Parts: sequence; structure tokens; C-alpha cells
Amino acid sequence: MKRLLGVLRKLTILLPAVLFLAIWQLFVQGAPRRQFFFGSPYAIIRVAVEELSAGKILEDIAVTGLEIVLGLVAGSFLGTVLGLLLWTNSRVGHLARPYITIAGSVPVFALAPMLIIWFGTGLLSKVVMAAFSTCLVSVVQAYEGARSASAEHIRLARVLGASRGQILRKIVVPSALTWVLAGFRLNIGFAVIGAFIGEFVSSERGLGHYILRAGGLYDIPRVLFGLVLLAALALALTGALNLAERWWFPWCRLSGNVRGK
Amino acid sequence: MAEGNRQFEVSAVSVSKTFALTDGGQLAVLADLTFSVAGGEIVCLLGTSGCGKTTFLNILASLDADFSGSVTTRPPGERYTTGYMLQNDGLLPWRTVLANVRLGLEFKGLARRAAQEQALETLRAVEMVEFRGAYPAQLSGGMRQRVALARTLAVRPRLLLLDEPLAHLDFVSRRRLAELIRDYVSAAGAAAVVVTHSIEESVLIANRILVLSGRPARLNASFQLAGRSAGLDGDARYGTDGELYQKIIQAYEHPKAERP
Repeated sequence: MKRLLGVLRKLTILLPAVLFLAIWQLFVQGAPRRQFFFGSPYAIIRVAVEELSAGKILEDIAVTGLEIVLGLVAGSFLGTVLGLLLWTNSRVGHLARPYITIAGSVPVFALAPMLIIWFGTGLLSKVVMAAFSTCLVSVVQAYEGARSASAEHIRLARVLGASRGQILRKIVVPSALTWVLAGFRLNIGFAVIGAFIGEFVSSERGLGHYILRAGGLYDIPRVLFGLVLLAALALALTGALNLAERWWFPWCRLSGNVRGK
Repeated sequence: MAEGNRQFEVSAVSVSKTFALTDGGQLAVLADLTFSVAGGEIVCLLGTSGCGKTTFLNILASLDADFSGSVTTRPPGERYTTGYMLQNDGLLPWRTVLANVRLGLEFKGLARRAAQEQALETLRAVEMVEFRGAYPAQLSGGMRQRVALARTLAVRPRLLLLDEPLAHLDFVSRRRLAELIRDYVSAAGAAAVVVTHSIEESVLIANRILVLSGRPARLNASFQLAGRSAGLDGDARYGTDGELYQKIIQAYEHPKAERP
């Protein structure tokens, strides 16, 4: 009974979405003009069944998914390493700050044509776009995370005879981890946008290409189905991150207590 | 347990510390502190909050070199390991109890297996071995203090610096932890300096109490409690604990009551 109540409580999260879809369907029901402009949940489901049974969309999902994952991992890793390096050299860190702000304000969309010229129209340019979209967040998160390492922990490590490298590895990096993970979580969305923009500018495959093509044909249900798939990819990645966090960094979520065991 | 068997002693000679303030002024915190602590002895520096007790521990731990006076050891130039128990346990939240206790041993470059065994042995001594896989967030305040003590003792320190080690503990845990510290100090011949603002804590743990008072803080009284068993048993020199407390309070209020 308790378990059932738990499941029901979890299902309530879907309530706003169900309500929204119902209102949307009612709004366009029996009005072809509205259906043309806004699509409808029913039309999206119909497109989904069609596309998934045809199977070609799976290739688009795989291509975009790969671009997102590679870009996300590469950008986040590079950004984290850079952020930590900036922390190790406070003078360089101080000098780099305004440039990080400048780089952070560059719209990725504006870089897309250049990146296409540099890296071609294939997978690499999309991965670079996704990586660029995520890198700066990771730089800032890792740098601030390292700066937030407890002075008390560092003091303790010094008393215990830790070298600078040991302090970095065993105190600073783990301290920054919650910040890095938070950055990674944010970056999932940025990587999706980066890969999508790359595909939008130039591509032959992928969900960006699918949406662009459907948009050109004024096929709103297909455009929306493409967006649903992008959102599903982001959700799947967030779920994977949650699992990884629970598996590898259980202390991040600890609030329980084993007193008296 | 600790390195070497020779009589070990750490001395602070005329230690003074002044902080530079942001408005260009200066704040003298410690003035002319002189005392020694020998192996096997627990000296407690008793002072009000903010009187510079932690600053002094940092000086003894060689974390702060910006002071006047000197800290020397006997035998001179003796290399020794310092164990420092921070005021707020300072446990690393991302490490399990066992990994926290192993930390100092890892820094010392001990092989993983040896470090693991030594950490487990210390955890057994503080009766926390069954919680070795737990994270600090899963422990009560008293348990955390015991783990912090285990981490401090795991490196087998010759100089033991303890910053309010018994704070926030119930009386039973306080007695138990004080006992563990006293046992280690006498078994290892380590020199221990404890700082606290609690008279009760100092009486419970110390062989000698030094009262710090005034601004800048000076050592204003000394109470030798050698021969006392841990806490609340009275002492021939100071009568009952109530009388001892009165004497310490008097030393705070009238600094020349009993000069060291």
C-alpha cells in the first residue's frame, strides 16, 4: 500500500503535462487551421508511430545523441581541467577572468558557420559546437568549486604533510566535484542546443536536420516530434547522470542516518 | 606507538602574534607566551572564545610562521609528526569513515594495505570500526568527533594538537574521548596541547591547565593536575572540583592569582 502511494505520488509529477496536453488537444480539436498552426498531441503521436515503425528516425536520434554525448563529455572535461588549472595559478586565474566572461557572452550560433568551415559538415563540427557550448560553464564551475574548498581541510592536509599535488587531488578536486556535477547537469541542455545548432546550420542527418526539413515543409507535428525527441535525449542523459551520481558519488545525496545501527 | 622513545618536549618561547587589520591598524592577539609540554603530558590552554587559542595552535602546527618568539623541540631539530584535530571535526564529506582516517597515512606515502590496517586499528581503538563504510553525513556529532580523533591519532603523532576536542559532546562521550586521548598520550609518550574555553573540558582532560586571559592574551595562571585520574575526582592541591573551578575563575578575573 505504501509502495502504491509512493508510485502515485511520483506520478503526480506528470499531472501538469497531462493537463497541458489535454487542453492543447481540446483547443485544436475539429479546427484544421489551428491544427496547422499548433499541431496537436494526437498528430504528434501519430507521427511518432509512423517514424518509429519506419525506423529512419532512429538513425537521426543516434547521430544527435552521439554528438551531444561526445560534445558534453569533451567540453565538460576540458572545461573542468582548465578551471582547475586556473585555480592552481591564481595570477593566471585572475588574468583569465575577464576573458572567460567575454568568451561566455559569445553566442554559439554566431560561431557555427566558422566551425563548419574549420571542421567540416560531418560529426566533428557538431561535437565541437556542443563542446564549446559546455566548456565555459565547466571552467567557471570547476574554478569556483576549487576556490570553495574548505580552508580548514587544506589546513589539515598541510599539517598531515600533504604536498601541493596531494592537496589538489585529495582535497580540492573532490571539493569541486559537487560544483562540477552541477555544471555537468546544466551542460546537458547546452550540449543539446550546441549539437542542434550545428545540425541546423549544416547537416545531412540528425534531429536538427529532421526538424529543419520538417519546418521547411510546414509540418508542425514533425517539428514538435523532433523537439520531443531532443527533450527525451536530455532527460535520458539527466537520468544517466543521476544514476552515475548515486553509484559513484553517493555522499552527494546523503541525508540519511545510520545512528544506532 | 609514536616514533622514537627519547623524552620529547616542545617549547614555545615568548611567542607573540599581531594581525594587520585592513584599516592599516594592528591587533595584538597573543603576548609573550612561554611554556613547554613534555612527552606524556597534556597541557590545556584555557581561554575565552576569540582569545587567540586556535592561532596559537596554528603556530605550534607550523601553519603560521608570521609570529615573534620561537617554537623549539627537545632533542633539538627532532623530526616529529604532528596530529591536529580541528575545532569542527573537519571530516571530508566525500570520504567514508575509513578513508577519512586513512588520509594522513596516504599523505605520508604509506602503502595502501598498511594504511588500511593502521586506520582500522585506530578505528577499533575509538570503537568506530563498525561504521568504517559510513559517510560523515550519516554520523552523529559524537561519532564524528571520534572519527576525527581516530584520523588525528592514525598518523601516530608525537605532537598532538587538539582544538576543543570534547565540544558538543554528551558527558559520557566526553569522558570516553578524554580517556582515549589520555591513553594515547601516555602510551605513545606524545606531547599534547589542548585548547578550549570550557573549564570542565580542561579539568577532564589535562595534566596541566594554563589560563589565557586579557587582550592580547597572556598566560596568567597554571594549575598542575598531575596525578588526577580523568576528571571530577578532586585533587589534593585544589580540593574538590567546585573549589578548583573557583580558583580557575579567579585566575581569569584576577590574573596574578597563581603565576606559571
